[in-house]
Amino acid sequence: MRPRNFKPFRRLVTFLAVFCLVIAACGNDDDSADDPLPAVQATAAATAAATAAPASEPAATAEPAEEVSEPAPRTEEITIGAISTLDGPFAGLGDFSMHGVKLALLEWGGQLDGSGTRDGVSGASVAGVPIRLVIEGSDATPDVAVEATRKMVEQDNADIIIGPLSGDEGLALKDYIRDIPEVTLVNGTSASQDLTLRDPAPNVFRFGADGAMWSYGVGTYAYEELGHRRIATIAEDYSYPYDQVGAVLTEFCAAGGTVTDRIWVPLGTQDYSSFIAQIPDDVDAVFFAMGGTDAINFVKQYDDFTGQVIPLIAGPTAVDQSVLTELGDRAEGLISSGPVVDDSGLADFDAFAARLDEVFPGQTPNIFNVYYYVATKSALAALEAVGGDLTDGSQAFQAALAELRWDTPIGPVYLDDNRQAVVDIYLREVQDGAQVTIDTLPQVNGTLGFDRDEYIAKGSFSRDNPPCG
Amino acid sequence: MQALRHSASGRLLASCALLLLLGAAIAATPALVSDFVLLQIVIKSLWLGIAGTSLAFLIGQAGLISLAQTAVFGTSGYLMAILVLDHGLSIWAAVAAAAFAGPVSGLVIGVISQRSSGLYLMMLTLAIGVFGFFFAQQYQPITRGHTGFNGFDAPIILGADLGEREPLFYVTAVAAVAVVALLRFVTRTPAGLAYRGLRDNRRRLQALGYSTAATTVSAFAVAGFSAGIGGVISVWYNGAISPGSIDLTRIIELLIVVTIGGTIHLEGAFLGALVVTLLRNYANEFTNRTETLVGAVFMVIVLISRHGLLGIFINAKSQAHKALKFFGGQRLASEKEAVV
Repeated sequence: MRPRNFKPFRRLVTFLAVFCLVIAACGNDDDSADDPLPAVQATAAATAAATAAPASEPAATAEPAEEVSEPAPRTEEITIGAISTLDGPFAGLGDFSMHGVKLALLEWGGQLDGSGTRDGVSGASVAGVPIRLVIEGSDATPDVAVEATRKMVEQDNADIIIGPLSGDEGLALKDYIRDIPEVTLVNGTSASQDLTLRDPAPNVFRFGADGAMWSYGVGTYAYEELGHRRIATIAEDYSYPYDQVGAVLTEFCAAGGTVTDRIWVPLGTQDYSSFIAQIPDDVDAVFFAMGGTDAINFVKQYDDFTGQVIPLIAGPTAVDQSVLTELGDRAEGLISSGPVVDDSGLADFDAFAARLDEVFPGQTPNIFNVYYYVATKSALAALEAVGGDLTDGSQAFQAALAELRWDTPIGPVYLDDNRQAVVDIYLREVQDGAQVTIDTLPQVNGTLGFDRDEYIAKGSFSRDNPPCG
Repeated sequence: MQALRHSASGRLLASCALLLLLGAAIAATPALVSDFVLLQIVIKSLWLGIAGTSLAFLIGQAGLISLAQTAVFGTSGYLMAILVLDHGLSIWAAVAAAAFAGPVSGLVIGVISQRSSGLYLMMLTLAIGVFGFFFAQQYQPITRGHTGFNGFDAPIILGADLGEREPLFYVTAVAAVAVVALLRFVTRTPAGLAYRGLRDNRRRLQALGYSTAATTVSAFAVAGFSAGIGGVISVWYNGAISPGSIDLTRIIELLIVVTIGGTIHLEGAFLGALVVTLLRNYANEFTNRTETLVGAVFMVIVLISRHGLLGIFINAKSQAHKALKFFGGQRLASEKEAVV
């Protein structure tokens, strides 16, 4: 025990120490003290307007610059901030997503700074304007995602944010970024429907599908082709699996099928025995929607306990390429729909896969690296279209993004009025550890082909929405 | 001078000087730092520190290591969000309810854990803390599950919008000072003495006729107050609350904050919060392994100082004092007398 000679003087010292530290801590970042968002220099506006490529060429194609025709490269730079889950339960997926970001920047003349996840890319430039990459990580919680993004926007002066990875992070970032119109968010893999479907923000763009779109087609296929009439569902208990289950049931029930049980398991469950025991014996199939280790644990235990007597139908991320190797034989023959297949035969896909393996040896395409790649490349292509000019508060850039159409490695993409992509979805089956196409479902939109007002009026998918049987 | 320092008027004088200096430091801070630092370092450290004082109080004063403070923090934050966003209550009524919910949930946790101490208390409160997380995650009708509450607008006080950084800073700083003042006041009351008795020797406290149960429960209730205030301000700061705000990572973070800062004085929590916030924001500029660095800093501080950073400062001060005494030759004797 310390002697009890405590005096007010000591308190004073303590408090002063705290405040001195606060002030000392801020010495190195006072450059942004006056203006939190000096992303664009007003003084450069005049010269920029003269040299910039006309922004009236909205339908840009996503081809990298072959020649740099800028007469005098501007000295200013554009900062891209990439955010993914580099800590916490999804840290591995965060690594995948950064591969995608860097791969896109390499196409614009960048060089890897190092092999670490947080090592950036230097030397990339669009229309003569240098591109700087900053990388921040979250732990999949919305609070941390907002803090990390705020740091990129306000400290690093990021003009464009690529990310985030998980659904609820996306919703939180939408709220944050909406108030900063000159900053643009191009979503990574956040698959929450309401990032774009309800109350969209004008500066948020999604060049991929949401959780419901990823699950499109599998409900109809299960009813019509596989002949299932009664199914049970088991999924993690949060918004992203609600969207997957909701999309499947919407189709399955419309076709005439019924759902007997909807079982919701907490995120991160290790032991699924009690949940598997709740699955009734008389259903034709079980639809499961989980991600990462949850999917691995569930499939292993389901296989061990029941021998898969009742067949499984998988959600899109449950059998993503990022977990397929872990599942091995147990995943053979699983039906799902999703954005990435290994045998699409698209030249862009094969080129992407080859390049990925070349730059990051041993990596194969999965949702995360493909989606972050598509997001980054979309942003760079739109930048190209406006000559790297963001001096108008990113208005021309955002308009170019909204008009962008290009052939991604996973098929053609364009955006609807909510800046939500319309994309191809693949109905697929796991064969020899790869995702093999059963059918390609072209041009799936954010309302799954239903009337927009009707679809929105049905409300967000939840534990018991849609009602069925 | 010694006489002055020990007299009541000297105390008052020192307190006044302290308050003045503190006021000046608070008033000057927004001008000295960038908007970003003000929000994400200073305000964040302050509310994390406020939540930390609740744990620092429990550990430092009453010797109760509680891992359930995030549950209290979450109860207040969630209650405010639910009342405003789901029930349309006015913001100040909700804030009042949330502030009240802090001590009440502290009381409940105290009642549950009043019989245990040491390792068992840690296990029990850990269970309560994790229960808080799972309740928020699973009990959808009330908590909106994993997504939680987004888009919470901070209130407007006297025409100043707390959604803006400067007003939020002033309110948070004043709240921090008020919370510390209140907790300090409690430590000076007979109840505060009983808490220290609980920490130093439970049996002797009992032998003196105190009820250890009542002492424990009331300590949890007092600590619940500051955890609740921290929870309320965190929701203003984040504009949101979700299970991720009170998960196991956050439980451990609060423990790290308090351990790094040191528990002998409540202010240590702010020091710890500042260090952790700075590390989380800036460490990734030097390393790919932020969490490892946080862990390493934690270990180093714990290894070299039993009382955290505050212990290091105080040690340095007493060393300097000793050196002064040494050179002060003949004053040594009178100093000794005063100390004893």
